[in-house]
Amino acid sequence: MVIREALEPAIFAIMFPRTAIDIYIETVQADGGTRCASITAASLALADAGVPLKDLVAGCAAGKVDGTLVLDLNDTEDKYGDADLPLAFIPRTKEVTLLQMDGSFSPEEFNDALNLAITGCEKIYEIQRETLKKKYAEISDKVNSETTTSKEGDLNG
Amino acid sequence: MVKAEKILSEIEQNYIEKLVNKGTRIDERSLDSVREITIKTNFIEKANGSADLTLGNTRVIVGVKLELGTPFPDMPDEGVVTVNAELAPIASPFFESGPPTEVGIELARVVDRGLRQSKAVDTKKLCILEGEKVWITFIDIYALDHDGNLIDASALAAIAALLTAKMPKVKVTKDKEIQLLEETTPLPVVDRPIAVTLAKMNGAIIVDPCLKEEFAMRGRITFTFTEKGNLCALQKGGIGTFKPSELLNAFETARNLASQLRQFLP
Repeated sequence: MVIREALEPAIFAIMFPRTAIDIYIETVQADGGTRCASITAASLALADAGVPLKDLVAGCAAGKVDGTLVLDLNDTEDKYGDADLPLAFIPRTKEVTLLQMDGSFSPEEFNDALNLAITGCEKIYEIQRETLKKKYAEISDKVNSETTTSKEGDLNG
Repeated sequence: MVKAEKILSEIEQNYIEKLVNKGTRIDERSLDSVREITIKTNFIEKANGSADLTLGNTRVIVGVKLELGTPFPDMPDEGVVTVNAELAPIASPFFESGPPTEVGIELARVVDRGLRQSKAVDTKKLCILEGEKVWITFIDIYALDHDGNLIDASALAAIAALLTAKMPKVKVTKDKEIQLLEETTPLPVVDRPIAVTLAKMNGAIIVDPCLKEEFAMRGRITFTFTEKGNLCALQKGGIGTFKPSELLNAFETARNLASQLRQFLP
């Protein structure tokens, strides 16, 4: 439910009346941050499927372990740490689409953790973009090489 | 069967949004004011604890029940606290009987997270025989009338019921038999967490949304604060989004409101 609500604001659902988009997420190995990783991956899969999006959605958590602010908690840090704040973010419009928290934060810590998680999301966003670009660069390379071959074929024929 | 739809007419949606942009609400409240609250505790004699809370027209009752059980293996010296929410059809035409819906599950989880993360109940004091017998605290939330903001109402009712709950004294015999005594002690409640929900519509943030405002809103966010004013739980809901600056403002509003709401507790 929270994942749906994290992704939906980015989707131009108005372009798909009377349509449902099913997203299936399978956690293969859980070591903390599954929710955020799911959102990051699902938004990429939506983009890969050609669903019109405002922007990709990136997810990342910030937290507190032994009184220190940390980014992207693993399972142990999540279970035995002091706080965990998963966040999903639309970088282009600077909107937070998912925000949860458990543990204990003073107002200053909340402020810092929020900013830290957003910085994390922005880093992940760059990787998401690179991944998409790389895929299309590969496709365009392939198409280019294929057209060259067929041209050669034409000449020979 | 005709099912009531959770859709506002366009005219109503626009009306609610326009009012909010003017700084007022359909029930003439200001954007940052909460509806009238009444709390009656211990109104069910047979329960260990109970609370009947009204928040405007929203009404919830909470029951606290203690049962002897075995602790979790990873926490052998701690009792257990569990929260369950029931959204019965009598509360609203939008609720139906049957297995819990997403709304009900989220409600129970948000209330549970607030109580758990603030460590409101001193679970170590619920231990009777380490690794063998502990008190299990069941917190049952029943919505009786749904006019919006069930989360804040339920969270407040839950902590009110816990604060007035009584735990039977026990005597452990030599051969580890447990006898329940007539005498009771208060349940060991050491913090009083308060949940505050804010809704966002048309760029404005309002507190304590009523049902129509809940239909009109795009997103909501629930902050739970401990007595010391630290944030202990957070949950965003709905498909609306929040800007980081809005979140920080909402945080302050919620923090101030939490200490005001705490005064309603017994």
